[in-house]
Amino acid sequence: MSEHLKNILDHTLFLARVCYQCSICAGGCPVFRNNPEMNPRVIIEKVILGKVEEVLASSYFWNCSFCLTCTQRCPQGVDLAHLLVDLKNLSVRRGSTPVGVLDEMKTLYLTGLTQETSKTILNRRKRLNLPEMQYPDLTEIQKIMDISGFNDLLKLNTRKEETSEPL
Amino acid sequence: MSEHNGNDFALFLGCTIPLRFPFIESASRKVLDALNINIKDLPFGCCPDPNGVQSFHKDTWLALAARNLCLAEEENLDILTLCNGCYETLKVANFELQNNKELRNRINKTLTEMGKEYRGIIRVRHIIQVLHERCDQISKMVTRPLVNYRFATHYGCHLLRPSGILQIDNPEHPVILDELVHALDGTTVPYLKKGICCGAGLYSIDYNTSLEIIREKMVEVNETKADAMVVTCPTCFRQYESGQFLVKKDVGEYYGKNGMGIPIVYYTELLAFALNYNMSVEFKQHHIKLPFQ
Repeated sequence: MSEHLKNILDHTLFLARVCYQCSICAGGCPVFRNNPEMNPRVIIEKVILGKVEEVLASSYFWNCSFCLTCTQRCPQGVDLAHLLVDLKNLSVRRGSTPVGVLDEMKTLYLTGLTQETSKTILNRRKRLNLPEMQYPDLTEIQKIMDISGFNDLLKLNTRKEETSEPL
Repeated sequence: MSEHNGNDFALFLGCTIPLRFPFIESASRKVLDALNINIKDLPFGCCPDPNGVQSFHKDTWLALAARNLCLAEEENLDILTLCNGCYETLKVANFELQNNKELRNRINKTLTEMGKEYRGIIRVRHIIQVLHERCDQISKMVTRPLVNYRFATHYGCHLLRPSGILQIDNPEHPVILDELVHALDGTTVPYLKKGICCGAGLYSIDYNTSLEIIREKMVEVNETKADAMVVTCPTCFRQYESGQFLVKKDVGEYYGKNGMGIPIVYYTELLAFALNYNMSVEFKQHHIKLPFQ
């Protein structure tokens, strides 16, 4: 295991260690109410018990909508929403990014934004007398993404997507 | 002496507002002008998305956020965001970079490559916060009061949580948006599940659950017979406006008067209307007709 991966795992365990399984996270979770397979309390329990592999294989943590209700309400101050972010980061390193997220990342790399420009929108902007769209310095943004390893992860996940390996 | 602090900002539009809902940008520019708040447009990139990008690679999320913060630092201007997602990302990133030296050094190592350095000298503010500080001024300026209208307010997750860092309002019982509607002489209705998420973070991953989350709120709002729902975020706007059509199509459930949908409106649009601006072009770009159109 690389040093970086170990750091993420250590961080995750550090966040989780004080949980006493009261389930206030599940109680406030808008996803759990509608899709009980995604149970934040169970995910954190498995993390504490060292069953991170099992959690990563299930991929339910990707269903978190990042509303931060759990983080806000936890009586122990466990930052559950960011613990799930750590799990997602680990999952990305294995090439298991969900298609919807991967598409957004591709747009971000190609444009520096997460929305593409369309003719319709430019016409609407004109009708509203809005100033010209200001686009960011893409070279700079892509350079950051190349240095940080974002682009490599993008390639890894795109390859996995193309060979349609199961998650 | 007014109680607000700061009148000059770098306007952070984000991606969704200028490229999907430009009428929100238009309304916001009108009200900022009316309140003599000075704004400067800078070539910011994506904030980036606190959910998608952070979930994909946290360090890139921080580095891109730091780059945006640097652009505003170079102008010595506080950032003014119109979107809850941008607010969450930039405020949290600013907080983490200000307080974690190791992290700041790591990110600055990347930024040095492009001749930038994050210094941590500016603040990140949401337009709702800045407007709320001017509530009294706003209520005196209203020339077209919204006396006969009832609104359901929706604050959205990333305006409020985590409250320890965002420090904008009580995360369980927020009031600022309600008070801003009252400043226009509008009425706000109480309803259950006011604080729940719009489910946008889930839309591309678990579509059915995302629809269920929209339904949970719309059923409650529908029962209040509110004339419209007021939001502070373009992502919530999209989720509730187009989401109602998706619920209609996939679940067969209708909301609003004659099942025509509950109108969704961004707060600055209401404010611009109350300040007597002509909003016909803006309102025409909505998919669900507003009651005062």
